[in-house]
Amino acid sequence: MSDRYDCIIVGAGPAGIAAAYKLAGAGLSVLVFERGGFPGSKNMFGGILYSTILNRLIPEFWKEAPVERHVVRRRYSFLSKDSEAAFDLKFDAFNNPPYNHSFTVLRARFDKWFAKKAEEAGAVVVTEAVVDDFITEGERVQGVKVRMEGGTVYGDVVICAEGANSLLSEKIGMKKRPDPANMVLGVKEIISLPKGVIEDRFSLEDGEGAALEFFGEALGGEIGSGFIYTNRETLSVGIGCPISVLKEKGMKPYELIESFKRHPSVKNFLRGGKIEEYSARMIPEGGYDSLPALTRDGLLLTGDCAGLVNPSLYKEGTNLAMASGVFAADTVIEAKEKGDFSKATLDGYVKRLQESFVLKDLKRYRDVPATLHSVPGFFKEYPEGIMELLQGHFTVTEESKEDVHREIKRLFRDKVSIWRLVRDIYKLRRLIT
Amino acid sequence: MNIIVCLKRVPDTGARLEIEKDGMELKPDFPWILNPYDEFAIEEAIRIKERFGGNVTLITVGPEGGEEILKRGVATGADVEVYVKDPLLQGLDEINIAKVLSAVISTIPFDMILCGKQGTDSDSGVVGGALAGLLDIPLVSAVKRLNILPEERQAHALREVEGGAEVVECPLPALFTTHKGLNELRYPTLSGIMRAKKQEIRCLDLKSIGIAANHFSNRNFRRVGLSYPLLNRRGIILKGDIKRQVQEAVTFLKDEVRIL
Amino acid sequence: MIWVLGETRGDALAPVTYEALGAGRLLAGPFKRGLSLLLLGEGMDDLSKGVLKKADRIYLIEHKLLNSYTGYGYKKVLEEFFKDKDISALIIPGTSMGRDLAPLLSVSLGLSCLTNITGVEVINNTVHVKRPLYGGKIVETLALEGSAVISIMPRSFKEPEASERQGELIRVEARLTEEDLRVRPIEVLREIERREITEAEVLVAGGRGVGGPEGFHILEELASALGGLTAASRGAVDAGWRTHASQVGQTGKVVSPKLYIACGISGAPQHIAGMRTSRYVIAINKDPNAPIFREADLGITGDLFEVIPEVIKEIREIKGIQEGKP
Ligand SMILES: Cc1cc2nc3c(=O)[nH]c(=O)nc-3n(C[C@H](O)[C@H](O)[C@H](O)COP(=O)(O)OP(=O)(O)OC[C@H]3O[C@@H](n4cnc5c(N)ncnc54)[C@H](O)[C@@H]3O)c2cc1C
Ligand SMILES: Cc1cc2nc3c(=O)[nH]c(=O)nc-3n(C[C@H](O)[C@H](O)[C@H](O)COP(=O)(O)OP(=O)(O)OC[C@H]3O[C@@H](n4cnc5c(N)ncnc54)[C@H](O)[C@@H]3O)c2cc1C
Ligand SMILES: Nc1ncnc2c1ncn2[C@@H]1O[C@H](COP(=O)(O)O)[C@@H](O)[C@H]1O
Repeated sequence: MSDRYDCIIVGAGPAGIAAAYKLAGAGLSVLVFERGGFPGSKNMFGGILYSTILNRLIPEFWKEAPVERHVVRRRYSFLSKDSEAAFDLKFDAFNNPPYNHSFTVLRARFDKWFAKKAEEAGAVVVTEAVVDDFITEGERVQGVKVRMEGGTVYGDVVICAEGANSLLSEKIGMKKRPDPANMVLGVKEIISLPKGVIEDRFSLEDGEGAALEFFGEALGGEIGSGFIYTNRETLSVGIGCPISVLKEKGMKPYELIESFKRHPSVKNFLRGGKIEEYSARMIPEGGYDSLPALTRDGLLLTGDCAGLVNPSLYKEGTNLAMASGVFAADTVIEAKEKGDFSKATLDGYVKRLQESFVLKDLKRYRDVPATLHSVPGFFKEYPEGIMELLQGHFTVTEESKEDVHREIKRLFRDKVSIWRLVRDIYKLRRLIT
Repeated sequence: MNIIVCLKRVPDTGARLEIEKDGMELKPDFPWILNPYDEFAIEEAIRIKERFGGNVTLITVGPEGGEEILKRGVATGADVEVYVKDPLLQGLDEINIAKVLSAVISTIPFDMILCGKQGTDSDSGVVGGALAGLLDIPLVSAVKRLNILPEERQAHALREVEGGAEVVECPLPALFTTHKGLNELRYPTLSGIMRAKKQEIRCLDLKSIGIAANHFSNRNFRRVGLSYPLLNRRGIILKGDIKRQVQEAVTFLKDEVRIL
Repeated sequence: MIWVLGETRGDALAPVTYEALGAGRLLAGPFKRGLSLLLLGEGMDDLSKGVLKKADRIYLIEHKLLNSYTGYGYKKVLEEFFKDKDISALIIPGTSMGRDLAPLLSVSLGLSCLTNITGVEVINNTVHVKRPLYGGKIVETLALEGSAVISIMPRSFKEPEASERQGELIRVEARLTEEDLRVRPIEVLREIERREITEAEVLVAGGRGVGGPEGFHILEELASALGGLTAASRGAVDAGWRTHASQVGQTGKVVSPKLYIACGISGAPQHIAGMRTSRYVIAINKDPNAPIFREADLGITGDLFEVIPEVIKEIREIKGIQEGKP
């Protein structure tokens, strides 16, 4: 290859494609390498695309993009071993554009479509192409080595959008091997059900979607949570659990998702469904305090590869990935005008991130991962204690109400120290607000 | 050697395929691939071109989605892409696909045509033979080895037959259908991919090749439905002590299969 | 008239010829059409004896250039032969010969062409034929609305019952020259004693789990104890342990034996595509979650090198006892 490109992008996920779209639109020559057979073929995520950034790139994208449903119903439920307390919200206002910027999508379809838009804008996307290495001259990244004949390609600048498991940025020394304590393993199944059944079971109209999150004893008392999201004719069902916990307990990922699916409050949502796909993937949830260096001469890290995932209850990654892609592109356009691709210029990217919701949110939720680990009761004793409390309250007996209440309180105190509870509630406040 | 390779797009049989409620069509949501047998045809064409010079023209006929399968061929070394794209081609049977191909091909000078042995969609294996018949050129099907003698304008081919193989000889131009094992596939090169991205596909429709819908011959069959195969498998999976398992299996052979 | 093209194998008619006659009867019966068999080549008299009662007419089309199959040779002769005859259907064995000939002949006779047919059914006076699609994952049913060349999948139809009456034997002299052949056979390579896996009643197939070429010895032994042949998955063929001629699957052969024993084969969809139509399937695999078990009547969970010797021992015992009986 003798051509030189203005920008080379590694990875055709939301981050890489958002950058490619923006750059190509500005008339720069862009080459994207994706190792999958097509963009999205190897990608998996929970299932909700938050789309404020996408809507700015491609206004009213939902009219043409392969979205499954827009989320109008959100349900948070707290599980103990065999009971459930749930908080159910449904907003009719979310039925109007921009649909609260929350859509369920399947990545194999969505990423493919998004990449096609970038190609139409003029970017070149090469699939089945694994990037093995950066080419450097001194400190400066000058291009990439692709695993195929004639695969040495040069560019003014490289955007690395490799996703959570970024070997390239580790190789070049910008990132350390991910710390298992900061990595969450996501395991997900796609379960098919007839469209009508999904709509009846989740009380939805045509096109409406639901996002159900499960906490407490979703994973048999381990740290982590479960989810069910509705697609058109399938459900995305999955769990997330820190890798450190899996290792410690010697548990297999599929055992966890199986135990989640068996929970009496989960089981019925899935009844009669057929498992179509199973996959597992890592989410970097180290948050603000474990961000890597984001730039160096001729190189920018974006999306998951830069650790840009909001570790709060929102599990938001795609929007941040797209935002970082756009900011990286803006910075590259600026650098191109100046003809300067040094770290100093590319640091404009970091500034953009800091001024936007991306790093502001990450900062706000910086304590979440640590908190979850330090409140183990959240996943085991509290659910059980609280559920016992509620069950006692609602169970119909001939005992006087006063006796019942006294007994329940005693039971709960046996399980949970009040002091610890107060302290933990204070900590957990951060999770939600 | 100017070589024409005919390419077909087929559903990936490794994927989940489901029937629509009406029982007449597949649910459209499955991946398409280049017919695996056609990959051997492309590879063989490129090898022959590399040895003897000339060019390789890829042709596909169909209502949609042909672009992707053509591109991959160019990325590995083919030269020209021709796509006969027309909504009228939807659901056309193999004999009439061959008619369309022969109409296009009779306007292109060629020394040989390569087709896949069969499409893995219906395993028909009709288009290649029908095309040879229409063009009135020699046909050698299911070829596993091909030796071109450009000077003599001849080819020697080995094709598999029941219980062995036969070697045949024929003059060029001729049509060969390719079997697995004919060659080892190569991977595309980056420069090939870039060339393929830039190269324009020659797009034709039926009108431009002078075919009207009434040119098509009667298709004397009509789909009445799709169904899933009836599998009355007993599905008993034994575990544990090998001797016990074997005893059960042998009882099965004796009493059900009645083979002992 | 319903026509059947016969095929020979060595000194006998190929089994698929009988199967094609079976399919022909299914078509001929409800419409009270005659059934005719065509045998091409010299010296077919002896061979025709076995089918005299299975067809209404038997045409022996003779010429020395028809002794071995050539597409254009057969096409020329049959084109000439059918000039003054009506065809409702022409049934051709789905073999290397039939698959080559069917499209050529369809074009020259101006008929539709249907290949790979595995079933025939008559519903309300319409003939319905079935064929597998997408590696057998789906079955397509087609209504026949006119004349067609139909090639049938080997081992899909039963031989017809013999009728009371003997068929009429008609001799036809063909005209053919060397030039007509276009493609000239110059050499036939027969693998010693190799029979064709598509025509076998029992297949013992091995995959990557067999571990190497030597591992297949024990499969050969089991196959011979059951009077069958060995076959292989692409895993084993790509590893170079077996030849491609024995590969079962999407890019190999589609087989429908009475019994298929899959040994150390995981059961990828492309493999299943080749063996789904087997009557009985036994799978031996040490992984209890291997997908092949979903396609099996009986699954044995265990190491094939422990299982198969036991099976062979048991079979020999039974056979020994049977042979011991008067
Ligand atoms: C279980 C789970 C649930 C989640 N749920 C949600 C959710 O509901 N909502 C949400 O917004 N986010 C969610 N996320 C997070 C979200 O998936 C990510 O934040 C987002 O996909 C990041 O985008 P990206 O472009 O940075 O990386 P990715 O989407 O991972 O894309 C990286 C791309 O690079 C390619 N690639 C990698 N290495 C190479 C290489 N060397 N050469 C060439 N190509 C390469 C990959 O094939 C891939 O296509 C979830 C994640 C997981 C795992
Ligand atoms: C386009 C295309 C076409 C294809 N066409 C075909 C085709 O025609 N035919 C085909 O077969 N494949 C085909 N394949 C390949 C197919 O996808 C699989 O890769 C292949 O079938 C795997 O072969 P296998 O089962 O032998 O090997 P593996 O998948 O490796 O399975 C080996 C099995 O052996 C078991 N095992 C190992 N040791 C033992 C032991 N000692 N005892 C018992 N069990 C043991 C293991 O548990 C495992 O299940 C095709 C693929 C593609 C993409
Ligand atoms: N629509 C088509 N366009 C071009 N070539 C085709 C088409 N359909 C079939 N072929 C060729 O004919 C071969 C056999 O296909 P089939 O007869 O459909 O089994 C394929 O491998 C291709 O080489």
